[in-house]
Amino acid sequence: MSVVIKDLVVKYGDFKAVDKVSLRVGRGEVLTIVGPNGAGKTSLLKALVGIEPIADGVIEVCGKVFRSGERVKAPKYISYVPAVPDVDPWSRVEDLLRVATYGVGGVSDDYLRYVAKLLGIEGFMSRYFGSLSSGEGRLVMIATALVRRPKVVVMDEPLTFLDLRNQARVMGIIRKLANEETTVIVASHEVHLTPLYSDYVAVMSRGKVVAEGAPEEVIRGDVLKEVYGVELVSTEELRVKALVPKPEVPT
Amino acid sequence: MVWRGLGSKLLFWVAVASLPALVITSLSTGAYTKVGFPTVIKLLTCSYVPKPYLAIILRRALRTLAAITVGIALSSSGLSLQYVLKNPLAEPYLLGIASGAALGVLTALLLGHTEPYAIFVAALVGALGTFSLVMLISSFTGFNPLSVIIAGVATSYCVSAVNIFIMMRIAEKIPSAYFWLFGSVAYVLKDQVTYSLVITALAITWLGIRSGAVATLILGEDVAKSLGIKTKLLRAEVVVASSVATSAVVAMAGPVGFVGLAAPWLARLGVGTDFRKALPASLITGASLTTLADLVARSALPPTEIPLTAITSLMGTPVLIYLLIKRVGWGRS
Repeated sequence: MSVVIKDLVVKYGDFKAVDKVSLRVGRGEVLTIVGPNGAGKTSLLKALVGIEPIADGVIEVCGKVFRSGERVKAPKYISYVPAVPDVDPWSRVEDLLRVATYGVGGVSDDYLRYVAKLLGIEGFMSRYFGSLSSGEGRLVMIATALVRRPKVVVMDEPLTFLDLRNQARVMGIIRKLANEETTVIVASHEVHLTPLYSDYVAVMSRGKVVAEGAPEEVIRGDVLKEVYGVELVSTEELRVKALVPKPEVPT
Repeated sequence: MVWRGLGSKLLFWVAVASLPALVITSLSTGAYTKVGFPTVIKLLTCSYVPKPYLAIILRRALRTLAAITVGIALSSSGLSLQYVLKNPLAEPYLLGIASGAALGVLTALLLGHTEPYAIFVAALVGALGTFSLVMLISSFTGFNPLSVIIAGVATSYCVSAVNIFIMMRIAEKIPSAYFWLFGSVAYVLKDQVTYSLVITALAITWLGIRSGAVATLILGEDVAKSLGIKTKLLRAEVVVASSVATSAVVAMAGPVGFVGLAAPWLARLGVGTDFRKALPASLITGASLTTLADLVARSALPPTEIPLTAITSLMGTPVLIYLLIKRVGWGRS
């Protein structure tokens, strides 16, 4: 197993944002965590990458074990893409990619170009982050995670702000990472796209995992209604045709 | 767009290439016009130079070294503060650190302390105290880049007013202190320059050692933490190192404004925003700017010496205005 989470608790003061969550993700697997706002998805991801301490429980990343009171410290293995980038707007895109390789020995020009091309950002490497659109900024942040050649990538809302073309691109990249034995853990509100790129889905609500399994077992009206409180129906039932972007796995 | 990029890069390379020429000109320029460029060339080619001439050149060399020390200290300090505060307008003068250091120096002098270490420690305490006050005031407005600068400028004015009051008390005993208050390397002493240079070098070395970690701060707090950086500790280290460098040169040459803004931006526009590259680049641009400013200070209205801040402000304010117009809006996103 690449990532094992056992009885994890993440606290802010007395409030338990994550309450005894256990999850396992193997090498080359994609786990997507869905759930309403405030369910604890981001807190879980932050504990996974060492931003928040483990209040209780155990997290194991690539064989390294971290326990109650500790923070995960495995930057050589794990990369993080935050939901809301807090990037200095006066930073050049290329510099962001280069400084992101701190602790893993830098990046070759060839690999930098390869990652930039993968994300379709090669055209604005010399632009300032503040001049980019939200979607372009999202692609840059994903690139900063990939230049580290991580074994585990943790992405918080990687598909928000993206147009259809870029959603297809990012979903394809997630699949490509998995094909190359990289573990990917995603938190997303784009529930309808989840089956297109995920191997497993976990549904969180009020800090707990309330359902988990293959996408077809979990992305179901009855499961999601309980959590989101809205009626979810298939497009066939509504007699409309909905279109979704087809993941484009880069060759 | 391409031309604009080239223009900013060109300005940086002009600053780099002109440093040796500025240093030689600085050694050749001064009140004793007989000791000029030919004499300096003679000295550089190991030809005979009369002893009195040599003494004059050494005096100018000391002054030049002092100007370079001011330049590298303020530019590295300004650049580092821009990264840790994620504020493109941050610099020791605008944030009140320089005037705070001056307050420390003047208070020490008022209390009768003239030992170099006492003056430096007093400058550092004043710098860190004033910076803490600026941060406290800005915390009420959410650390917006502009509000931090406004808090800094307001505090700086207030501290400068106190400095003038103290100055009036000590001016009789130390007449040259008035001159010092507006920034000058005209009357520096060898011991002062040595002390200042060594402390500045130590602070810059520390910033250099931590440059890889500082560079990651542009990725944002959370990503930097995920890379294993203890961000709060790092910010504190950098603020202290920047204040140490600033205090070391304020103790010697008084508060000099805008070098900490103009020099880092020349460097950033030239080599990019990777701190590991921008730090060494800003040392060169800082040294060039203050050497040029000191040259103008002694040669524009001879025999009068113009305060350094009068000249560096003329260089720095266009940069400030440019950043306010072009870039500051990004901070609000």
